[in-house]
Amino acid sequence: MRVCLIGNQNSGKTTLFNSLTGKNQKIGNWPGVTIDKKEGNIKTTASSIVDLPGIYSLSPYSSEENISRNFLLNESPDLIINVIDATNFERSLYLTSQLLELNIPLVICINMLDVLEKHNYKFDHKKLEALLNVKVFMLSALKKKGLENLIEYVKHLEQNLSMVKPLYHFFEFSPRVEMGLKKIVSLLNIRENSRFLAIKLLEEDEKLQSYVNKEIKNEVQNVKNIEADIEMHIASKRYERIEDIKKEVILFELKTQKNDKIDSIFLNKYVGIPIFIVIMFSIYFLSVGVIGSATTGLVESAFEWLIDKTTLGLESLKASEWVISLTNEGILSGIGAVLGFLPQIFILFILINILEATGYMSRVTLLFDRLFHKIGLSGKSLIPFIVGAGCSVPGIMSTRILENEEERKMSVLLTPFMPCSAKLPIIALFAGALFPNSHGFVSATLYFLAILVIIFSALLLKKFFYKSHQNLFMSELPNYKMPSFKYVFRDSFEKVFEFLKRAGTIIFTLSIIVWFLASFNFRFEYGVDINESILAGIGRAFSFLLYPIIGTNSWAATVSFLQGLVAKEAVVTSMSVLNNVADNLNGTINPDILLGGSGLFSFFTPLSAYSFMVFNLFSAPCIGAMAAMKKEFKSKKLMLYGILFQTGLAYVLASLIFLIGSLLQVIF
Amino acid sequence: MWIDWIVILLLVLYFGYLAYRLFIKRDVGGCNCSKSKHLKKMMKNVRKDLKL
Repeated sequence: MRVCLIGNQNSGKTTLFNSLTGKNQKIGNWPGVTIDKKEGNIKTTASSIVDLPGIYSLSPYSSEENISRNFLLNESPDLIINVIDATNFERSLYLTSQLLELNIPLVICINMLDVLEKHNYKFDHKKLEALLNVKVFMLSALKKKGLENLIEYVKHLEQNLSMVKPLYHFFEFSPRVEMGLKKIVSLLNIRENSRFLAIKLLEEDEKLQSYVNKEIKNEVQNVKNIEADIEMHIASKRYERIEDIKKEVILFELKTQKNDKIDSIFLNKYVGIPIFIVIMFSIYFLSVGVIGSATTGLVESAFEWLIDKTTLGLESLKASEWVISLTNEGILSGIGAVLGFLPQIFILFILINILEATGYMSRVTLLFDRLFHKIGLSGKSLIPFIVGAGCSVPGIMSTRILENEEERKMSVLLTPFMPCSAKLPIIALFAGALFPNSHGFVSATLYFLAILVIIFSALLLKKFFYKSHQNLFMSELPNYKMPSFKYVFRDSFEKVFEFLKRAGTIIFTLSIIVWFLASFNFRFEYGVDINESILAGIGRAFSFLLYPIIGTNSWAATVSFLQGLVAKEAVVTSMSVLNNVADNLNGTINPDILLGGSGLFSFFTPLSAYSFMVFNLFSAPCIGAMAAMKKEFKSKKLMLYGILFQTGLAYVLASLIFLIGSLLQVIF
Repeated sequence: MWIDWIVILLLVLYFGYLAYRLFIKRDVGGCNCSKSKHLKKMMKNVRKDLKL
């Protein structure tokens, strides 16, 4: 008799395999198709046993799932031993629900009995047996408890295998789907695994298209006319049934009950997303709004003190006027303008890290799975977006967790739309100076606008470029817990350190370059009017491009935007240096003065400021993110198309905001 | 006035070093992603965080 072991990853299959065979196989998963088979003989029996890779479903999405499914369908084992990790019961039973649909004798082994006892779980395995009509064994593969019953059963089957008829209670779907399945089963006209194949054909499984004929295709279409997202329907029905079974089988589950109560609120179909919106809104309101108002003055005073001391020092050394201007109006005002927003960034990181550490962010990925599935992404795509809220570069790199190549490419393209920490100074500067009573609210709207832009772009990309079917997202949800403040602070400090490092390198360099180009004319004469400077000359050549967004030809805004292509926070740096040089402000970083004063940026109204922010936030990302995009696309051409798409979309969106806003102002 | 010359010297040295890193060694910013120490470190952190 040939037996196979199947179950989720880390359910203890290989431990059970080792206990049953007496072998000492390395515990782990099969990493690919060409791996050696783990096969052995069950002690004291005449049966051989194969250890299959750990999988979560019999869908053909990963190489492990393909190996296991092909083994079950093509090699027809005599008995399947389904190993279930009772501490992850729902996830484990999802796979079981698919195994029940095969016409292969099945037994269930509830593993980790020792862990169950330790956590006071009461597992009614007799009830599970009755509900599924499958033999259920309770055991601990690690402690070798309960193995003898399983071995005895295998011995019993060896003698009576021909008499075993798998009549399991499989899970049922909606009446229309069941009717379609019956019809497909009759059209398939095969005895082996017909229900399983019919379900897979309804799900339009690409690997089983050889079974499809015209009549089956018509029936699939008929069912799809009633249930448009059939894969989602089947998965939902399976989980509904699993939930019912769990209520009857697991009698005492202290930890999960607590999690379930919280999840019933946070993952609720109706209030889950509004709660997420309120949480993110509060985070932005707190970090940019409340903390911003409280700390801006402090950082300004610190920089004023530093500039006073530097000026005194340089004057005592008899430094020239240009050295003092370079130090104060160039370097210190450039770096200071960005560092002024450090407290907001630090608080933002702390609050987001707390959310991650509590386990809420994992729920958010699940919450968005249904919505994202409709636009060609899965909930897993939210991970690059969350990472991208810190910095686009690691966000883009983290798209490697996505198995589907098209979904991965879409996520690479969409991740830079998230407002990263470098974009926060732009938001905080404009929101603080031009929306004094609602800066927290305005900042939060930009975050949600980013989500809308991502959804809209994904829909566009799905319609025109990436049309394939996406994976269903399955993920283990960690238990809710109090965040470790050590982790939260350590991670936040690391991110702040990265931000400081950028201020000391890229921003430092750009400050000097901007000061130089704004202080000299094309004949390299120092101290000329800023409107005659090299930078003004460069900016004027392109300033017409920003006219639809800001409603005026501003060379200063144009060059500031261009510097954002090197590093986004450089937009603020450039504005600060330009205003300081123009007005001889001697290094001030006060947002109200930066957006007033000489007139370089005083044309900004709340409306043009908002559209300018939108353009900066959603247009081509910084040079580091562009490089990461090139690396992940493995194509310079695709990267360039991506940047064109982002900039084009940002240009249209920002122009529309300005146009509609202007029209509304005229009307009202 | 000597401080002016020191500032000029420092600027020349700094931008010279930057040009060397940017155009000859090609290991900063986005010019050569695979050689950038900063990006390499970031990638390492992402791999570690996501257990890739």
